[in-house]
Amino acid sequence: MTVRPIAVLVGAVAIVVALILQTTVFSRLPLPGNAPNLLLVLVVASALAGGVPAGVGMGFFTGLAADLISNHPLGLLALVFLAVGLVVGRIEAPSERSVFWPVVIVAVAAVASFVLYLVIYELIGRHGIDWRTQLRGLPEAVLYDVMLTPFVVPVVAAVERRLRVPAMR
Amino acid sequence: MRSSGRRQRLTIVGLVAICVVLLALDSQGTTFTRARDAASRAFGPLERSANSVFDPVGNFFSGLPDVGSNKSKIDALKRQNDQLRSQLRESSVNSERSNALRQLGLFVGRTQFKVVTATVLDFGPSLGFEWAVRVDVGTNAGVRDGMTVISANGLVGRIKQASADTSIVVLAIDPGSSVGVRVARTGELGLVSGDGLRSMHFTPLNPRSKVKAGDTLITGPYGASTYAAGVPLGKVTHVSHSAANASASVDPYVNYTSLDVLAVVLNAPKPTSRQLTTPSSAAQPDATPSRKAGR
Repeated sequence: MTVRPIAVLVGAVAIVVALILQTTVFSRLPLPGNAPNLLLVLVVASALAGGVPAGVGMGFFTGLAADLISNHPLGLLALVFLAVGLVVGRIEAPSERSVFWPVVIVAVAAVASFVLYLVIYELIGRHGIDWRTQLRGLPEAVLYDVMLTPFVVPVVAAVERRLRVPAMR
Repeated sequence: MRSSGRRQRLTIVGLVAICVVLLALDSQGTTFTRARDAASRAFGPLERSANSVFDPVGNFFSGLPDVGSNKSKIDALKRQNDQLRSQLRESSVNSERSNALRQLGLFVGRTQFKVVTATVLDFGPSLGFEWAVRVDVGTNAGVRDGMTVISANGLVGRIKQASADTSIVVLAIDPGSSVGVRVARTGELGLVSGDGLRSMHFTPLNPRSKVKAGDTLITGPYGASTYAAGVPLGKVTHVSHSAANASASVDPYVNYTSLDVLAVVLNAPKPTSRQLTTPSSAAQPDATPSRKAGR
């Protein structure tokens, strides 16, 4: 399986746009609980649409970019999103043309990525996170992510269909 | 397909390895300052321009929960503002009063008077005397008719009529009042009579007295005076000599139109404890502004 340069470019643009939206809009919305995570939804949608390669690639680079402009250790979100993309990419099949499954997958991914983030954070010996407060805000964040899903998943799927290597179908 | 699957697996393992290495390096102290700086430099302008677009959106959303309550919030803030303002006024008045009380205490400490402090309740000719004030102490506090009333700056007047809890004080500037005084510098005796808000008149007992402008007058035992002795009254500003007698204008130390914290002298001091106490030695800080205000 080869990755077309145009796909890489589109993926990069998608990451930058998502990062900007995340830092300027979603992180600042005065919503109760934790903020919605557009990046996570983007990774899940990419993995759903493009399978493991798209999920892993988008997960790694989205996470790395987020790491670079954040305070936490470099590679942390990259690893978390990579894992999310890998796992979601493997369950590509049943999600086609369904609204229900992407929503469930995003919800599970939101919780799982949060837990994974905390575990890795503790594993590398950092203890700066007030994880109780974070945990209390988790249900709302999951809800917001789920609400983003119907907007993000179809768009990503449509883009991926256009970028798909013609020889595959 | 198998080889592509292996490559995919290798890629994934490689990426995970990169993540782990990065994490390990970062937790070992490598902070990747350069990479982060570069990312911020690249991302910062994008974020700023996006902010200028999205800020109104964010403001709109952050304003949403308050739409109904903004007006009541403004009202509450206005009320609070008024409250704080009046508190500020009160506190400045209170500090003035405490200052006056402190100086009164200093003054009284020097004169060895036994006093009861009093506050002016109302003021003016409406009381029936031309220049009188009503204070908030009376016979219950030991105040009796004829007692001397002072402030931190000097002589105020004399109790005319003591009730249970209030008393009327005739001011020394009342035209009907005359105070027996002594010139502090020479010890000469004389009488000071009031003339309302105009200067008081000093008439020395001895027509050839050598009273000078600038002399300090204190209350003294002359004639039928029932004023406590040794209380500063005022300063001679102008002396006019005629053939028959000398007279002088006196500028009182007390500003009679801004009386507030006073003290009623309960005991006339014994002659041995009498001393010359002037505002310059006892209550100079307050004397200056009050005289200024009087002019």
